[in-house]
Amino acid sequence: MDDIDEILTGIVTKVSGSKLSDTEKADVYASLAVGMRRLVWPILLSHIPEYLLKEATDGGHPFTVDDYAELIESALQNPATPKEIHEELINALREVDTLVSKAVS
Amino acid sequence: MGASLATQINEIFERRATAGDRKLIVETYRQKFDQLLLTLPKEKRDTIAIKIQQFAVKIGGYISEYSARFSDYVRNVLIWPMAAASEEFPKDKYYQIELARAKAWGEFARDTTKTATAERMAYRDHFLPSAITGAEAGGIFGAVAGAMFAGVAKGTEIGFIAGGGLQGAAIGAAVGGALGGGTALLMGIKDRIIGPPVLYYSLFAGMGGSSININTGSNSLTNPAALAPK
Repeated sequence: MDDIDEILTGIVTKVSGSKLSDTEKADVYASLAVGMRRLVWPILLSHIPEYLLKEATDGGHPFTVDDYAELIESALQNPATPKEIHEELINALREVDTLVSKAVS
Repeated sequence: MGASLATQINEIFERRATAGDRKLIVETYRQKFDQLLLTLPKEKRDTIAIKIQQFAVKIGGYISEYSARFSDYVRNVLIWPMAAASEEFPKDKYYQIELARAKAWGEFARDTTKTATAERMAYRDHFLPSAITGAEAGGIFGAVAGAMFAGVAKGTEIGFIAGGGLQGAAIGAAVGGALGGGTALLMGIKDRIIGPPVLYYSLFAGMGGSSININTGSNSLTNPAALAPK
């Protein structure tokens, strides 16, 4: 089991076995799902050359699927990008794990 | 009364998403980029399928040193805007779920006070009730998935499978009821949070027509044959 899976298993196990209502549990799971994605895009965008971002968002020409793929690849081909996403995810999940541990104990 | 646990979790991710140098880029481009993703011009599904396949292989190369779970997660997040740009991407509840995911870093996620938006409800529905009560623990990988798979195999209502809402279609038939309830429940919840272990697109030429299966899961990416048209 890798780091992300392991931490997530701990969080889900604690929430699942807690006294939270089903709706509250659903909110926690939704917040985790939403939150994890919220980390990806800002990190990606921060690694895309800004002139490409400006070009894509200035409305000068239609933004296509091909443009999207090129934009994302321009960020990901920098090894620092996936490394940062990976580290940020793990650090965020650890912080959530600590929070959940206190909240449901 | 303090903030709910979900709200506190939102705040953790929001704080980290906008930390340091990212704050300025997020403030400048968040809404603009969000809009770009949601307004990508539609393309024919066969064209999209090929582009997704090429994109998935390239992404796989950039993140190959990381775990399969992480690799699948990143692919799930990044491929969705392309899948949604298919002319035939279904506007069913799974579309709403994936829409919520696509908007996850935008206005929807930033607003931690409203709970009644369509996206929020779609997301909550995604987790209620089966992923919590375990009532469909077998269904996550079994019966429900099997039904979806059968529907897709006929090339009928769901011609295009995309993403976490249909994770069962990818692995359901194979895993079936082999997993115990508790384990299946935990796996099911995690899969719904992260996305499925295998993101699986099935594009059909029509009733009785040929099909192309694109498996973007990490396992398949190590096996080019798995990506070949079938």
